[in-house]
Amino acid sequence: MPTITINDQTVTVEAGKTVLEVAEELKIDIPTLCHNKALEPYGACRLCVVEIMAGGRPGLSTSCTLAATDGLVVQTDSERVERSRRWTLELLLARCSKVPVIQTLARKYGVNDTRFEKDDQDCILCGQCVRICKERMGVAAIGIFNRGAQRVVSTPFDEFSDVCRKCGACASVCPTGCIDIDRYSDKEADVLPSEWNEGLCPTKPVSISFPQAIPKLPVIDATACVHLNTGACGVCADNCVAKAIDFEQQDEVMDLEVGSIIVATGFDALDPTPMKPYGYGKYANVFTNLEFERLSNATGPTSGELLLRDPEDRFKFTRKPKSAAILHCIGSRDVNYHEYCSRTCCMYALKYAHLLKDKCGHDTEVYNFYIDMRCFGKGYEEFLNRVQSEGVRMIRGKAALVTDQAITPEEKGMLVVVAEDTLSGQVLRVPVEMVILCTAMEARADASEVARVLGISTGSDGFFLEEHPKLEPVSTPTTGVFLAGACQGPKDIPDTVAQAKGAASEALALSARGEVEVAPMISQIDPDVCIGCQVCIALCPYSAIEFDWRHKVSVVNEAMCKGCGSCAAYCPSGAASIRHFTDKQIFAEIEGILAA
Amino acid sequence: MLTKLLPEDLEKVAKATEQRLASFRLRLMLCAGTGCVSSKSFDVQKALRIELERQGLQDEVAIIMTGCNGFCAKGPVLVVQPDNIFYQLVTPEDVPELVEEHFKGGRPVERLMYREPGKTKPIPKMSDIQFFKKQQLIALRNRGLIDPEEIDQAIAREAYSALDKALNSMTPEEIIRVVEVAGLRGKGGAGFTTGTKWKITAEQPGDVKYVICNADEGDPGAFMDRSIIESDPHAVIEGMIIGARAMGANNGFVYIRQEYPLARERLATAIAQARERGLLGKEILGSDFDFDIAIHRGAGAFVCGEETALIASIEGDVGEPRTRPPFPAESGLWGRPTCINNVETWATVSEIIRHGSEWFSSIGTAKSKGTKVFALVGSIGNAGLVEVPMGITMRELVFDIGGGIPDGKKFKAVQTGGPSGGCIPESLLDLPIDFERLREAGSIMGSGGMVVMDEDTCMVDVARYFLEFLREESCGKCTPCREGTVRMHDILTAICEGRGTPEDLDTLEQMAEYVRDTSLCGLGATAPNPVLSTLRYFRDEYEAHVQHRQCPSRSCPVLSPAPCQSSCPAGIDVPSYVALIALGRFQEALDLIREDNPFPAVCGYVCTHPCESACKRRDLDSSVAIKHLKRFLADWEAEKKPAVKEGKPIRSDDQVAIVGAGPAGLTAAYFLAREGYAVTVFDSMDRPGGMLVAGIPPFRLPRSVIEYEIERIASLGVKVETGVRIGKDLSLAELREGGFKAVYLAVGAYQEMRLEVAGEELPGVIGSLDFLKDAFSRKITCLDGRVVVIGGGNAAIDCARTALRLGPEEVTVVYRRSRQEMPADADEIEIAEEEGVKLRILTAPVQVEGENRVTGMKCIETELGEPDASGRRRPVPIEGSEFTIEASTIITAIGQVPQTELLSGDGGVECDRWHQIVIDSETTQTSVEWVFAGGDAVTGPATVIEAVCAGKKASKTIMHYLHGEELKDPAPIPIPRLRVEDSTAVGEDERATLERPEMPTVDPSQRVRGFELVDLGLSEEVAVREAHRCLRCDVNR
Repeated sequence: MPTITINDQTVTVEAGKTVLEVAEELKIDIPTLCHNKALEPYGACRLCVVEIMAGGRPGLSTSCTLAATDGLVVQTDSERVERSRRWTLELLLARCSKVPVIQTLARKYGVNDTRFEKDDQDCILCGQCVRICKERMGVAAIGIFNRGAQRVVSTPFDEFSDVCRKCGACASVCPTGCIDIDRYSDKEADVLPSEWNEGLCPTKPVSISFPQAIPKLPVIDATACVHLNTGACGVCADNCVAKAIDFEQQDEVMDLEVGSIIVATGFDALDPTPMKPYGYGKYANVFTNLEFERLSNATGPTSGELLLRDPEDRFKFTRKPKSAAILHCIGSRDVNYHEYCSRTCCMYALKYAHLLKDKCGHDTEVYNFYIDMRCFGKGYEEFLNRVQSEGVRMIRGKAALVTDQAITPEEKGMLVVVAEDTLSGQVLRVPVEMVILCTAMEARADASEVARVLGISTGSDGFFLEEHPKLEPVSTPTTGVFLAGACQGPKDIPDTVAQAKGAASEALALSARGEVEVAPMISQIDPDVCIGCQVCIALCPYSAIEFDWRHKVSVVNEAMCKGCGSCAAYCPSGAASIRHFTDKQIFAEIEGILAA
Repeated sequence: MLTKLLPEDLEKVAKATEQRLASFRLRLMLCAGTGCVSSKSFDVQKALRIELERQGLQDEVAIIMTGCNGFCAKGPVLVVQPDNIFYQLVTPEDVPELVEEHFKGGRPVERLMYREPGKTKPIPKMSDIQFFKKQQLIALRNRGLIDPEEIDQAIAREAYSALDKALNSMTPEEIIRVVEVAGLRGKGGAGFTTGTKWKITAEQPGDVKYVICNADEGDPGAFMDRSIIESDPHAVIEGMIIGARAMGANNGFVYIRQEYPLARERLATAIAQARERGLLGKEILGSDFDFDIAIHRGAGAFVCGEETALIASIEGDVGEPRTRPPFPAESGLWGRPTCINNVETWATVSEIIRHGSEWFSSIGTAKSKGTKVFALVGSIGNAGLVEVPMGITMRELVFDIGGGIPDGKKFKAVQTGGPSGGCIPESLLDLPIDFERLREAGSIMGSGGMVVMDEDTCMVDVARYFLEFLREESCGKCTPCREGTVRMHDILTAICEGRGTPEDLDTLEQMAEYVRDTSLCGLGATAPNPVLSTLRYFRDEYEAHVQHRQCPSRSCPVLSPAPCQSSCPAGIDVPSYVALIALGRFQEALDLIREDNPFPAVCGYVCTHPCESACKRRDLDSSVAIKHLKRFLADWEAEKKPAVKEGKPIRSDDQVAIVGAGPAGLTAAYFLAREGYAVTVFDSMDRPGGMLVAGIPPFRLPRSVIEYEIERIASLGVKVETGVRIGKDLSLAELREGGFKAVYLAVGAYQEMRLEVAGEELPGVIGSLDFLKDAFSRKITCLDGRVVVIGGGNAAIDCARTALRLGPEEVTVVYRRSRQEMPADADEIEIAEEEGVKLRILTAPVQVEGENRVTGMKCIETELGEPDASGRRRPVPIEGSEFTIEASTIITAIGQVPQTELLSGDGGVECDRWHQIVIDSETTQTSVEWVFAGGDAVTGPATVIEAVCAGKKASKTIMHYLHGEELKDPAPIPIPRLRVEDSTAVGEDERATLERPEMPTVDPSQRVRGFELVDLGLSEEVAVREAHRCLRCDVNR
């Protein structure tokens, strides 16, 4: 193990390390612009020079390429080093006079200005982009062309590259941020829209899903990761100090033994794309309610600013709208979609109206197109009054159409909302810049699958069915399975919280008691009679019958059996019966009734 | 059909080939190197073949197309063996004569033989030519002796015998040991010890190793690698096989640039023939060693000569260097141990194996062994390729082998080591050339380019040129080299264009050090050499550019739009007035001259015309006769006598006193009076004119001419008071009290310098000025006996010519250095000799002999030693060589000093120990605020035009002073005042053929009879034609 001395500190280091790596471990700051842990040492920017005092050829050498060999003595901040660094920075500053990274670094080393004529280039030719493309992405779509002052990064013959997959690795390592990948390929970039931000902005294949994620750890999107798809890249693993990246990790199936299950699978927001009249997906500035939520969120793509989307670039937001329309009941209370009321829209629509006024200025025109306002909660009516007093236009009438076809000059370039004002009986055309669709809450697409697994049922609207609407609003027919939140039906947050607390206490009640009380009228299967045909198992709606493979008979789980009698009614051998409701007893009862 | 050779076959092949060649009576070794090929040597070959066949000589005379002979400037070169007769510049038209006279008749053709520069005697034998004499050929051993496309001829010259030795009687370790002990160092430029490199490569683990021959020669003006490959490719191949054997490599590459098609072709042919002969491929020469060579073509990037960049290029990557270590010897081509050597190094290897390490290490200097091939190019008589032992001096190389600088120009510097080398100045001409010394001098050996530069080369421009090359050729990978070369080039361009500042020099110096220290590879590390070495040795040229905005070599176009004008101390607009003469507008021409010089006529007669030395027409034939043209204008005016143009009305409140009515004082008076200042000129003599009348003989400058020009100046309102000696008759303080607000001292230099030898006081010894005064005033009317004039300046020549007219037996000028060092004008010396003046050079006076009167002069012979402070070589007396020249009159003309004792006393101006008045050179101000000074009193004896310059400059500062303005004026770039259209009277083609007219003169025998004017002047017709010879660089450059 070699021993080297940096700035009078003598340390023993692992063989094969460079001086730059050793300095980093020692927390000695050495500036560099072309070094990248994921890439082979390049030694081009010459900022990381150190002075070799002994143990090597005396003079300046780049620490990124200088091996930490035994007996080496270097100084990272000698006068000669500093002078050389200042020169490099002055020359870079002259080349890239407007690049903030260079300006900051230059100032840090005392170079506030350059004596040379200022150029306005943005590339410092550190070669990181070219190297990552070749070394890590295995593509070499871009390269370095020409010599000397004419040196540039480009694609062969300055034409669009066939091999570039627009992964953006080049741009991600560029220290000055000068890479425009559209210059390298005319392919549509494989952009990964951010799920958390409702696709309003892109995200990277490896990211922390959302700021409040628990556990707050990055995950790799296996569908988009270059390494998992091509075997190239793997840069994240090289850069991870903790060596925590494991490309071998797979989905796991876990068996958990639990006493109760709370189903809180939530809802799906209705996709308004098929509802052609509203122009969602066609017009850039028709948003769904959830998209609007992300826009107004401080951690969202616009840092909470309510901005219009650039029709040319869906990830670009431009300016605040001067007018907006909020369309209620999109997919709710509509025989073509869902007949039920989604319960939350009226109130959040009012909130949106308020936010628009608040964030975009009170001269912003906000229209609410509603069927009727259902402000039933505590303080809700007061909020409606307040919003109205802020100048929000309430138009009673469901919007029929959103279009960009202008018929008057004022409508030019606007989205026109067409609706009948049912109070005045007139058809209105309201030109606005932004349209927000209050889409329906609907059952999750896979709700029936979940219901089957859990042995619960769904209603005609697709939501999970509670055991009893009044007496057992959180329970399900399957004992130990409880419902919480919008998976049971549209709900707002207070209702959801209340129900969730109810479900939690139901589950707690079970475990607190330590035992389960079951009704006496449950099924029993006589093992001596059972022929092991297993028909009952398929029939049991509560999954209460299992098969005993040793004795080759069906066995009733008494804790789960509800005594519905399906098994008893069907059992071909007559092995199954309901306690207290044996055939004999039933017939006796019938006879008794008939006799009376 | 060639067959695979075994060791014992080599000698057989050699013998057979020798016999075959010996069967020819004559062998014509015709050079087919790239230089000669482009001079059409193949046409000569064809003509020779036809002519020989026609004469039936084809079986007696063989034509052998050889590789480069080295003397490329004289190509096509033909050497006739076995007599070694050297013919140069042979054309197909010469062939019949050659065949008839020489090859058939046995009478060599003198017309085509080489002659030393400036000599007429032909040198028939190649070995007698200086260019070849001092050369020692190792790498170039077979140049001009074999046909490189015929392997058997190489074998006949011992090729592959070293390979046999290395393969069959030496172990790899022994081979390396021999190369190591020989002290061979890499000749690509860095000079790393070849043996060490081989050893490191050999010691690396692994079976796969490579050897590479670096033939990516990219230096401008360097072509030794090309020449070696073209003339003897087998030397390279043999060296590579031996090296590969020693290091255990089985594959080799030659990286050769695409721009060398002929070399590549010959190399490919040689490799193919070697392969057929079993010298490459499997089981070479019957041994168990396998080796083969592939040619890789480089795409012409200079940086690919750097070994890591070269490797990257072979690997198919962008040719860019990477940081070392690891060195290629450890990890090179495809990560394998790789040994890269230059062509010349490889070509040397086999000779070392053949003759042993002791033989090799006996050649050269302590640390640099053997020889080096240099490409001598630039401003040099014998341009070409030479191989000389290390340690030879630059002087031998340039002057003995190279034949010195052509056209009588002065040597300035040698640029060695290619673009990233440095410039070696004249003071280091005796530097022995080896790796270490060159590095100490701030240059490098590089691949061996030597660009010789003469006085017309601007060193700033040279640095700029090389930086331009490097800027283009820097790969651009690392910041210092990429950005630094661009910025240094920008600064140098700014300096060349007169936009530089003194701070720029510091910036350049610091930046050069930074680029050298911080760059990634050798290109960047040496890129600042041109800047650093020129700054080190030619800082004065840089300073002239940044401080005075002048290019001393008149080569920077912006600073020197017209070289004639910028070389004129007074900055006269020469191109415009010459153009006006061509158009016949003589009055305008005169008016234009008078904008800068009140003495057009005087200068027309006696100016030393530095303008003509700078004239670009000189490069074509001879300079435009500018002085004669000015003289023509003066004569024209004297005939016409046009009215004098009025200046501005005189304002008597700004009075200026001028002391001394010589050219400096009168010029100052002229420019001040033109602007309306009241000027009074005081002079101690009885007539104005100063040195014009006291020092210049009337046969050169008629007195009427001086009087006319002084009259013109007086007519502007200038008062001239003669017979008044300031300091004696009037003090400076009294001038001040008398209302003069400023005083200009232009008192000249009239005090004769003494010889400081015994007997100087004897009658018959007379100072030059006293003699001239007495002669002009007819106080002396005749001289008897012999006259000796001591000195080498214009005054000495004037004295000699004047003395000659007084009828003595003989006039001899004695001068202590050689004729070359004489300060007098060369044409004046020539005229004096023509008239009968004898010249005795390299002779110094020791003692004046005689008792009551001079009878002789004891002298001693001298020789030239080391250069002194003035840059001229010092005369060293040769002991025991004393002799006496008989003389009845001795005129001393070794210089004059000013008489300033009366001015420098209490309250006076400060003078130095030579009595010269000390001034601020930028403002002409003396130590007394209101007193200014100039002319000979400040500089010592100088020329009329310099005096005019001094007076003109002083007039400007005095005006600034009187107005209370800043005295310093940035020196203007002399740019033509007018843009005169070109005359169409003479067509362009005709102009090119016009010849400079001779000045008609009185016959020498007539001249010496009196003091009549010698030069008769040009006629109008001749003058106008002459003016058409001007190339008009003011508009065309």
